[in-house]
Amino acid sequence: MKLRETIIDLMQDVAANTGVELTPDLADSTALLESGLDSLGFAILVARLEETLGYDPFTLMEEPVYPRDLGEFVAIYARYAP
Amino acid sequence: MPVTLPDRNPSLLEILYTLPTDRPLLRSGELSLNVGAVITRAEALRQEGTVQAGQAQVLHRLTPMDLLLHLIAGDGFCTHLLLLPEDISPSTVPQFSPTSNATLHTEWLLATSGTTGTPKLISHSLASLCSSLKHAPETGAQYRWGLLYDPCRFAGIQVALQALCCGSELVLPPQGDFNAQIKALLAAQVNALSATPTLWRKLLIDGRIDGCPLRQITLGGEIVDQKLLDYLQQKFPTARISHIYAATEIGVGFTVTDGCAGFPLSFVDEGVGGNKLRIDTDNRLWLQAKVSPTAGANQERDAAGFLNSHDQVEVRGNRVFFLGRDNGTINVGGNKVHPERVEGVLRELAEVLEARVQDKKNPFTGEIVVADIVTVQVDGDEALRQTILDHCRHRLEAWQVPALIRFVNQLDTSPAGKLNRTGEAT
Repeated sequence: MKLRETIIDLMQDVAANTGVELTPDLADSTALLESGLDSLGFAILVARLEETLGYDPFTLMEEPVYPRDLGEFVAIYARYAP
Repeated sequence: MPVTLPDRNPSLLEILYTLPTDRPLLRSGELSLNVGAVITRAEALRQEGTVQAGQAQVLHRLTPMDLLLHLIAGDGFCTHLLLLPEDISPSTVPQFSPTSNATLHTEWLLATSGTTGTPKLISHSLASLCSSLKHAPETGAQYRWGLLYDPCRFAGIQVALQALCCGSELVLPPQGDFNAQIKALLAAQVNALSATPTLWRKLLIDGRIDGCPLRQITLGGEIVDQKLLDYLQQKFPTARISHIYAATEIGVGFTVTDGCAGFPLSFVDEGVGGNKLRIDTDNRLWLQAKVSPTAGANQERDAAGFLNSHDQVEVRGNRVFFLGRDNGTINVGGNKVHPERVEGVLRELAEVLEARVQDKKNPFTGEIVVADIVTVQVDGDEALRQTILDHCRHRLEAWQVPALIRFVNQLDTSPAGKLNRTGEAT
């Protein structure tokens, strides 16, 4: 799925730019906070994704959702895609 | 038999004397000290001369447990207690001259970061630090606090004093290791926790905090958004949720417990907790505290003694909302970033002609740093972006590094030639 690829590519980019490494076996069930990125990394990722995709689902959503794992994170982006 | 407090402001040790000695008070790893044991250790620090009467005591690089014991021993005994966070070297602290020999009202000096990175010292007393805390030793036994903040800084001191003054157990998890912190909070079954909104979001994403029977949830250090408040209330329906407006320079302004972001306009019209608020014509908030910090460098007070908070606010109906700092300071997950500093670092690169750094709202950290850059070469490209980011990473803290780099043709300047910070790049 192209969206998932975009997200993971940018995660790699953010990891490289912040001097961390993503966990090698990244899967839908990987907990976000065990992926290798920390809160700041995710903040940067969301900003970069908005720049690339043109939207930020966390700002668009009415009811707050805090995704636990990569699968949920990708699903949120899919749900709010324009 | 309960000891009664003296009429003047009591010292921390005097407050502990009034608590039941068998009540658990401080816990760190396997070590658990009740009130009696804490008193014994604090008295020993005085007797053996580790903490000296009539002297200024510098507290730097102590474990949280040792720091708190030193504070308990030193208050009402030393002239000054200088709390230095780990990353601030004692040699960078400006010299201060003790203004009196009175040890009954020990001056607590807390460091806050200045514009250039040189720390400012803000002077507090135990009275000013405790002025907004609930003194309720009878119900104190029902609370068990977790300390996630640095105990050297204002927020950490507030949590520690809340616990000590009410005789609530304070759990001290290992610092700097999120996993270890969660495990310690769960093992102790902490039921009261204070953290920044960014840290709360992290705790919620992690999910294990669900295992703590939270009855008191406190937020501070950043603007609190309604979504986070709603989510916390859903997750912990029986918890009391408070968000606190405070700063090292001001002390505690007020606490909001109605579940809504911002604060009621009535706090401005009628005052709150003995403190008075005022909004000026530039929509800036000023505060006159009932018991204020005694002194601090560059504190702006008006003729009536109101202190300029430098926070920009907006009134909507009968509610006041925070917008951000008036001087453009960016708050990334509770960490201050001065745009001018980041701009200076960006301009160090030969390829950068001009740079403007601004904040951008962010759902994870509240705000994030973004930079608009005018380059020597015609078009910025990926290689240049990497060069810029690498340079920033070497020169700045992680949260100061721009999350987004946007290459622009020019930046607006004001008639005086200064960067226009509110304008859009062309």
